Amino acid sequence: MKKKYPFILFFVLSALAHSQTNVEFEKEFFKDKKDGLREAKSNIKKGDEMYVYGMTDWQPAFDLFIKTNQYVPSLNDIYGRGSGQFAAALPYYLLANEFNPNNAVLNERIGFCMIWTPDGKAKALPYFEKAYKLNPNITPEIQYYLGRCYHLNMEWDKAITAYKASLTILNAKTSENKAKIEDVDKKIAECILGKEMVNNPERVFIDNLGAVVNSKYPDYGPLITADEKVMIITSRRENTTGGKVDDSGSGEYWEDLYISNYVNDAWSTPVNMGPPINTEGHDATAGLSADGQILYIYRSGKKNGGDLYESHLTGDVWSKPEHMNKNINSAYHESTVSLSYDGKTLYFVSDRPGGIGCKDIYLSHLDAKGKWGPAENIGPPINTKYSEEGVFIHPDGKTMYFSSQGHKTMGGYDIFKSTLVDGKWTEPVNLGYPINGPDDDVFFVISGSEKHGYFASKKSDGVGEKDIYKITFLGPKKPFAMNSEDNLLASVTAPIKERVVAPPVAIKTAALTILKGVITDALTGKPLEASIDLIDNQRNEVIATFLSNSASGKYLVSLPAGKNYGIAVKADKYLFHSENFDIPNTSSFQEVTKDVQLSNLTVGTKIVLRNIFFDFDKSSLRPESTNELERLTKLLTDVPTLKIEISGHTDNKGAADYNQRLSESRAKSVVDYLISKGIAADRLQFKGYGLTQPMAGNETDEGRQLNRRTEFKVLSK
Amino acid sequence: MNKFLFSCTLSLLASFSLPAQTDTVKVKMVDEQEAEKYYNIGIDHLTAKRTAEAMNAFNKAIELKPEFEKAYFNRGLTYLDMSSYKQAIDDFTKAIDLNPKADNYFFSRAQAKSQNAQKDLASEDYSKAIELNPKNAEACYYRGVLKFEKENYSGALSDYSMAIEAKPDYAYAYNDRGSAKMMLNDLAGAIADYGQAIQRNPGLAFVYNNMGSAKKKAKDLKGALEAYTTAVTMKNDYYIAFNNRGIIKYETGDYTGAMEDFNKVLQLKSDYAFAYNNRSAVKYKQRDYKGSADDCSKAIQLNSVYGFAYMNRGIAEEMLRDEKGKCADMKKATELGVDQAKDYLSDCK
Repeated sequence: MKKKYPFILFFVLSALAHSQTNVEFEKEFFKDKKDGLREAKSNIKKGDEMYVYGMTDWQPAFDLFIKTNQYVPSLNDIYGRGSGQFAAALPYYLLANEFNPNNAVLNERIGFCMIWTPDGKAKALPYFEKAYKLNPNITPEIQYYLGRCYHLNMEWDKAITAYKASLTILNAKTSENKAKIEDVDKKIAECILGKEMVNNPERVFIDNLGAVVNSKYPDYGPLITADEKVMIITSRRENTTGGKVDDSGSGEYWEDLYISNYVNDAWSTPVNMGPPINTEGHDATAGLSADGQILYIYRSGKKNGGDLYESHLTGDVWSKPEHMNKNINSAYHESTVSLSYDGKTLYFVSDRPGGIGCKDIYLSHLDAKGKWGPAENIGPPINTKYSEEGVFIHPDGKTMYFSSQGHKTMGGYDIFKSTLVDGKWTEPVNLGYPINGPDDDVFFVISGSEKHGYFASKKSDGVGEKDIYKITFLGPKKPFAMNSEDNLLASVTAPIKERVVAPPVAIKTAALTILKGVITDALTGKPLEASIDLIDNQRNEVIATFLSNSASGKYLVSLPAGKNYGIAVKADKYLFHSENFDIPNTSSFQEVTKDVQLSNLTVGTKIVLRNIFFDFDKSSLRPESTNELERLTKLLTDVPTLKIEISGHTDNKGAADYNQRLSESRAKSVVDYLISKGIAADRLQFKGYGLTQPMAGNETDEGRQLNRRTEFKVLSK
Repeated sequence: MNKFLFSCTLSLLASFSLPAQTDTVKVKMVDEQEAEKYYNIGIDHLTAKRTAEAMNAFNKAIELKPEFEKAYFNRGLTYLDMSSYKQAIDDFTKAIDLNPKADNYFFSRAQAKSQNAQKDLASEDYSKAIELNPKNAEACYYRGVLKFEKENYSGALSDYSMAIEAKPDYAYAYNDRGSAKMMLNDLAGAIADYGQAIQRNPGLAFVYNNMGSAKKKAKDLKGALEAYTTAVTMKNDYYIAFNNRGIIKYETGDYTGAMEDFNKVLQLKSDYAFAYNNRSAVKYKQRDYKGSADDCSKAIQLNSVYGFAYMNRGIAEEMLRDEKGKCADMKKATELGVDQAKDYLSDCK
């Protein structure tokens, strides 16, 4: 793609073209249509003006990109430079083409302008084909663009042939040609892979979310909570803030964020999130925490190349989006963000210098002061010398979805998946066709269950422009079992059935438990804002702290498989509540709803301590109990007047007197611990109730487990 | 097939009664031998399948000569022909009491016991017959069959080998030994034995069918297809072989051919649940998910405990986006012992 000098080139080529069927815009060919010719020429002139304007934007960006990055950019890499002008040139060119459809140069130009438009891939092809037919030497790059169009239309073999033919003009060993040869070789490889992937499609359903969610305007950038109950999208529909079209010449409304809730098995109409989330400029989705309480917003800056903002939901109110610190935002372009399940690591995309490729994925850790620390490039095998985009870290804490141009793609950006194993990311795997196609597939999010993915696409059968789509993953093929029988025994007429031993099919589900529910005041039933500590009991560490929403009381915590978790729910002036979840590595996806009622510190209130563990048949405390005991100590320190009774309870297994003695000595162990931590002995009583105060029936394992417990009761405050 | 095997069984039975007939030659036909006279008349009737007349004659012979062991034996055979197994067993027992050295008495009692649902006792009698005459190829063969039915394939294999040693042209024994080898996963051995059976008797369609199944197991799908095709060519109503060939065609991607074969099976045997189940797989491949689910339903209608058909219907329902139906069917299949379906339940709420 050497620099184009459109006017000169146009006329020179016109003069040189002597193909039999090529018809120039000259009087001799249109003797009876002088007016029409004049108008067509005028349209060509107007089109050329826009085209040149586009070229002055596109060409330098293109050249600079190659020079800087040593590879040929995609439209996405140069942010659609020139595409608005190319699109504007099209109507004029098309009018001229209507007058004379047999001009090679004009056909080539229409193809070129069309290829950059979002839905131009299918439309551009016939123009390039025609141009080539009229004059095979119309431009040096005609084979390359034919290849591009065939590629985007999934005509793999034709694409490969055209790409190979395009290599013949690239033999000069300039660095630019080196980049172009690499580009063509890469695209040939993409076609080979694309053909293979299309022949072995993934088992998915892809559904448009419908006219309730989607509008006739562009809707894209979906974000979802892990439980798929809240969705936030970017939309350019007519009621965006300010109600004006942007200044880029696209004629589209400014971007705003919209929110939709999944209620009664359906998504509600997206509502403009309003101020302070939306402003009069571009406000777009960038990331959402798994519980939907933290929202990341992308705003295109005046001089900072596009930056990220963070907003928190308190009750029904989103806080004013705060510009993220300089470790995250640079003078360059930052786009998508994804927060780890524990809220301590932020993954984001930036094209800042010093990366491996143009756009790379970076991470930042939350420091002791609660600030995002220095950005680290996450390196290979995730980042490549090409661009990565649309990072999404799954709440299982070990699976990353992202888009890349650099890994084995079938064209443009494809969506990939990588897993964290022993602290290292595995070689990314292409999600396959039809999730990925020959065009850019980017900005994809997936549910906690990993059964549904959401993305935006512009398809002809959609509601209009870009729409939000949902992918349902059906998993590996489910083979049919066929049955047969044989007359195996010559003397026995009854045939013998063949034993069907079908190979087991591994159904992989996300190794994740989502714990969610509503936290309320036990007496009034009012929603409470409480903090939820997630504790790794084995390591006695607080993994993360979450807040329930003050207006709804709702909370959502992600528990990746493989740990014994303590959950401590705390609110001021309330007795804390604890839960224990032992989730083995082998467990698959589950969603657990646990509504928690917190009790005010009223005399007589009883609280069960679920994270106090004893050795089997003994009263010695196990180390996993430390966190709960420390919390209890803190409560007694915080409320110095509080007097409590610690009681032990058993199930009905074993003799009553034995159970009474065991429960009493266990209660005493807890009291002894508290005394050893400096709590005055006269504030503490211990009792062993044995099996006399069951919470549940003793008939089932679950019931018996509920009955084996340590409890404390408020004696006075 | 049924008819075919039945006639084979009959001809075998006839051959077992041969020793009795041979014996008659030795009987002196003198007038004072009234009992022997009736006895010989009985044999004529028995050979001509006039069981009632044969019965009368043997009754007379025994009446006249209560210790006439051969008359008991032949009356036993007559009872066997009349499917009166209990009486047959009693007569054979009487004959054995009178002459405990005749291996064919034990053999015939074993046959009667086998028919009378006393397979363990039958096996003992076969063993006794073999003990008395290790060259009794039929006794070896039938004891092998009983072992096979009890899934004692290696035991069956050695009995079939004894039968073959005693009677080297024993096509049935070769077929059955091939089957025992197939069960023991010795596929090359099975294929060789089926080949031997064909060499000794090229007219047995079921051997070609079994050969096909052994080759299928040995992943020789082309060979399997050929063998099944020979089987259905020899016996054009052989629905079992058509069903088997349909599966091979399905596995080699010839969905049109598979469809034709399963349709042919249903034309021959409209209540063959397997063919509906198998045709559902073809329809699924042809993306006719509704047709696929409907075929499974027909299979289930014919056999309400057909676990695989429930699972297959569930797979088709997934594509019909009938999540509820799919989960109910996978659950049912799991209850019916289809382990594979259990994995698919993980998608269900």
